[in-house]
Amino acid sequence: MESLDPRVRLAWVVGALVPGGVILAAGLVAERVGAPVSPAWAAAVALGVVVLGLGAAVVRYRVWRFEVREDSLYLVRGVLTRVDTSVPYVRVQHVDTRRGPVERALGLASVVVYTAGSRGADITIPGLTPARASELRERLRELATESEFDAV
Amino acid sequence: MTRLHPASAAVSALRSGGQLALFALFASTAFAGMGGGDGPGPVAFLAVPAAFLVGAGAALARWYRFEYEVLSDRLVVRSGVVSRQDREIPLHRVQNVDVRRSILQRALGLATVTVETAGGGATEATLDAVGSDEADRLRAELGRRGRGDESRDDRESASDDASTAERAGTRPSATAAGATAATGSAGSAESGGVAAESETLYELTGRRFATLCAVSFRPGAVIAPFVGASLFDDLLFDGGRLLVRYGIIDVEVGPGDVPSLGTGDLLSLGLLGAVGFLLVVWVVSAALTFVRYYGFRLERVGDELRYERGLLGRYSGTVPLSKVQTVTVSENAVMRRLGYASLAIETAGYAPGSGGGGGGDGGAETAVPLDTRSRVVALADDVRAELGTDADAEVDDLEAPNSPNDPDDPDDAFGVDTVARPPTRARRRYVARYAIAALVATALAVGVDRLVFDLPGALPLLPLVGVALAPIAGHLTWANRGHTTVGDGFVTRTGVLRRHTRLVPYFRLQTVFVSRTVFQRRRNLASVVGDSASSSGLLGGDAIAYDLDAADADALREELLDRLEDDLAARRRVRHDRRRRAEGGATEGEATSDIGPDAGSDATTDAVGPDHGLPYGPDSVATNGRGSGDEESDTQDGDGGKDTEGDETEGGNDAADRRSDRDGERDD
Repeated sequence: MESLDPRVRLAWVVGALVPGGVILAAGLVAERVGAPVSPAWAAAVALGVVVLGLGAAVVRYRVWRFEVREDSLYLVRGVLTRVDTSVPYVRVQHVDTRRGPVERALGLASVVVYTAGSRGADITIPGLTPARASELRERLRELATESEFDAV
Repeated sequence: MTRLHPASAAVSALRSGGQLALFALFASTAFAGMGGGDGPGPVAFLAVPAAFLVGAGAALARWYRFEYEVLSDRLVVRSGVVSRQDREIPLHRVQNVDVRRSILQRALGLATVTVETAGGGATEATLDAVGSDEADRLRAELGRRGRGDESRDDRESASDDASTAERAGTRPSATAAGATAATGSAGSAESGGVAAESETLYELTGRRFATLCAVSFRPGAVIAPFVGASLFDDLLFDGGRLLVRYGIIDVEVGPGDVPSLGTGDLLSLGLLGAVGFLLVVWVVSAALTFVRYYGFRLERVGDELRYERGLLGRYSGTVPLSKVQTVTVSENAVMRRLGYASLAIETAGYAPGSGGGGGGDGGAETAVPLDTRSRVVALADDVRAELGTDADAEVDDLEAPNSPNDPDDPDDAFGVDTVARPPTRARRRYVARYAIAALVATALAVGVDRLVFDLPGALPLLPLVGVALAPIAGHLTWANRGHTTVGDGFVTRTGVLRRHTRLVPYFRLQTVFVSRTVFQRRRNLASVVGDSASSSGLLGGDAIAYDLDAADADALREELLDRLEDDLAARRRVRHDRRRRAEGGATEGEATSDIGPDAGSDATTDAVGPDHGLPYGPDSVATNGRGSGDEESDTQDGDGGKDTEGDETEGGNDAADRRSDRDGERDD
């Protein structure tokens, strides 16, 4: 089983900073407008959100693992609800690598695997180095043998 | 390229012209009012017809620019006035084709054809509207070409077998046992006749239809009492006054004519109201069902199912059997008690039949709205057998260690007690869940009582009854849940009020999830989701096996993956084999010979022997052996044999040449 790059935790924390910042800003604006909100409360709530995000990032990183198995891609993830996913290679429609702004700043990349299923049609493996991401994409592409049957 | 029906151009021109004219009328009156003038000024007299002309003109331009054509392998739709759009839909990607005829369209002989593919939620192509005959032609053509693989004959004879079975299975007089027996013997039934002829599998008439109307529940009907109450409030008020006058309800009229009621009156009124509410919901439900399923019939045409229904508008559509994703048998509590069930067959297309105006059953295609459970199950098994034909039509002559699809002996996937229930510790979870829900409801009621307004008597504590009922509800939830794996698919069952037994064929599985919430982990439980591309999955209709033992869940995941691989491999093998056979058949045709493959030892047919051997030759040891045998007989025959070869057609010569090449290689 392969773990993600440790830096992905930073990306997730940044993800938690955004709602925290929004809450803080909303609180400050509300206070300015005259709502009964104290900036300290807004800051406390915002801090709480960020701390929760931090904790979630740590746990999520510890749980997240994946493995390129013989006939399927296997992923384990989830903080509160743990989800193990098996994606058979015959079901892979196509594979993307993706780099968001935060990921680019941290030097990370994600691989997105698409299936034709109705739920979890796209499965994302975050927190990979760009090299590893493109390597994984190529590997999955090789493994995803063209199904002779209709995908759906 | 063909345009849509001219009448539809007229209709849409009238419609959009009228809309714009109406808008212009409102706008001009509003402006006139602002200017302080009286009524619609002279501007309106110009603006309104102008707006009509613009709207109608735009509609006509759209009609003029909208063209479609069915080519041999794809449907081409060209549309757009300002920005042009060309859309090509490969026919083998078509999931289902639906035809709708609203009342107006029926009067004009029009029909709207929608073509669904698996991509996204939206309908891929809407032809609004074509002539009625053209709609039928399109449906037939799109459907037939959609599955046109080279092994057409094989499939047709196979589907013929199955349709014979269904004919027998759905004969009204046939009992359940008889139906399954007929299905069983279908394999040996002689195949013949034309496969494309339509045949009615199911018709909803008479008492069965009345029963369906009575027992079905449409969620949409719930709003009816509210709408009704607001429409007929005068009537209700008069009714209430009558009740008071005849002393049925005793009302003390307080200050301001506001009647003040005692607790007892409030309760009895509430009860009356509840009964009235349910009655209205029931009647409206029945009426909606009546309008919707009036004249329902399910036919089989070749290898697709076709349904037709509707009183006011007629809806019809096709479900290619080769595109079926899941098969679901559903029963609500009343149906279960009466021994009835309904059958839904889902494809990856978006909610066929519920597209526009129809309103679907949770996105699922209802194949049989109501019938006795045994007949529904028999039909479901027929559909499963049909799904299996791909793999098992010839799987017998290949090796089939655990042949995943055996139409002669379909597993009892939809039986009442076939599923394995979750472990009993899951039941405690359900009981706890219901008890907590009841406690929360009690807390809310008490809170409302204390803080907002006084509820009469002990009403706030009424939800506590739920705590007492929680064990029963928990048990029912537990008893109705379960999963099993049968020969051809993954079966899950869930639902107390409406129970769904869902079968996903292994070869339709896309991804397998095992999920464990915090609470499940505490009890070492896990749920397994078999995700398919079925349209109902988007609406929560996934095949989920709830609350297995965690170790069992992992094992089930592995099993599902293995079975998926096996099933796909078997299908691939069959398809490969069929393709080779088809190629062999083509060569046979060239050689103008109808002699069986075993005739190779005959000296006079030596040119034909290898011909037959060719498709099987390269990787079949037995055929190679026979080929060399032919070679020997050739040399014995000497010149005579050579002459025969020379007289053969080109195909025969080619085959002979190729054979000698091969022999040459073998000599090296």
